[in-house]
Amino acid sequence: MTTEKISDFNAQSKGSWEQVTIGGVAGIVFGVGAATFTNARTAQEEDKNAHAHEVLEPEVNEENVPMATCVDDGMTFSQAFSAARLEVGPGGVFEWHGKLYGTFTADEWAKMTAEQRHDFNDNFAWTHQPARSPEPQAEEETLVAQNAEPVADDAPIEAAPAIDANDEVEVLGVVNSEPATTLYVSNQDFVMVEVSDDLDGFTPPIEAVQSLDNGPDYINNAPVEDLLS
Amino acid sequence: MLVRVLAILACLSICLSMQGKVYLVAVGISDYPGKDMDLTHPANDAKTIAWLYSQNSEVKYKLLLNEQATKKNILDAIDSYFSRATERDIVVFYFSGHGYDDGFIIHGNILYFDQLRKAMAKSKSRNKMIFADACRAGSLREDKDAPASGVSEAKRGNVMMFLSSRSDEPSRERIDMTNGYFTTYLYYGLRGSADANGDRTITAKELFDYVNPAVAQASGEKQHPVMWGRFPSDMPILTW
Repeated sequence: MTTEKISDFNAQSKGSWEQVTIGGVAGIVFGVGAATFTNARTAQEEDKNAHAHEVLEPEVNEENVPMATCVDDGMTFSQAFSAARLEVGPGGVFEWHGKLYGTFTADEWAKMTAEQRHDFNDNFAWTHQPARSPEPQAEEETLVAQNAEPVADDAPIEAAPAIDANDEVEVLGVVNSEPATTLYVSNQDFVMVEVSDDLDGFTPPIEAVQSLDNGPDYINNAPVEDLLS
Repeated sequence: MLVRVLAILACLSICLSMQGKVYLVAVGISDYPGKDMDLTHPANDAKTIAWLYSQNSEVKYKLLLNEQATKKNILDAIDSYFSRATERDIVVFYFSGHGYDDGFIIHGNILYFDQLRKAMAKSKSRNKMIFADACRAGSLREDKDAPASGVSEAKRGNVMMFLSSRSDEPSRERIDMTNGYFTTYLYYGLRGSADANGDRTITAKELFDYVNPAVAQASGEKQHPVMWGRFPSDMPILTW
């Protein structure tokens, strides 16, 4: 069961990353809610800025911020986030399609103080890097100001880029906060992110279940022998 | 007047004796370990259903809420309550809480559907019902499309599952309501709103026809309850 905000009630259409609050987890923001620690740009902005001559690229202090190594670009964003989260937990980073993303959920990020966010961002050194595109266009902005500073406290956490319109993800919930056990489900796959050892018997493996066929909503002639004595 | 009252009581007595006893195990978990997974209404959902049955049937029920809803307690309750049922009695399992792909998330554990099926299969009752208000509850259906093949004489009986959402849908609650969407309309339906022909008996199909569209509409077509099993469409669920 999930808990939804009243304001979301009857919302017929949303962005490709759906906002859902689950079981008291307030403010899960789009998608898996990965708080990018850049001033995360949208996919459209990324395209627009692909002509930039120089960009500021973060160099990660991996002593303080673990970098996930299990992610590859063949994964969907949700899979990448989930795998990274499983490997390094919250407060780490992973690279996906050339960009770095934090492994904090949006909810965790939103609950952090400005000082905590600054401390986290201090682990990144920002340097100019060669442009990604060899075809600069004179009329375009020539420098992308990719800034490590977090957005204002009262600003919404930026959404993860909507790479695939069908890649809708919902955070099912956190079973235990220390260590966190989080279930994620998308309409494409199901991923257990992190499993606590504290829970008796609750150690299902990571698994992927492809799109489920629902069948009819009403059927009264189904095989039920295993429920009968 | 007295004659009329006696007649009604006699009729009620006959109805109850025809229906048999109801054995209900109702589980509701709002308070999960930690804070991040808590829900708002499931404990009240279970209370609501227990209260509803207690008003209408000769019911023996066990209510397991929050930290009481461990796997051991649930399976013990199913074993002890449902084992008392005779063939013509009705056993009902109700769950409200988080759902998992192949089970219900209970307090500190998962109650896998296989475990639930095995536990309920021990009962002699030939009228078994499961109501579940949990994400992906539709996963409880074993083979969502297949019609039943031949059934042995020894395994005749009715099994009806009414599940709050399809296999890949979350089931929703809203903090300004008293129950989850599914349980809200299940309650309204069983209180009489689903009684399409006004005969004071809520049948399985009447209940589905009322609850399914109501929940779908309330959720903005994001949640669709499913009814699955082998049962006559006019099987009585509750009689008033």
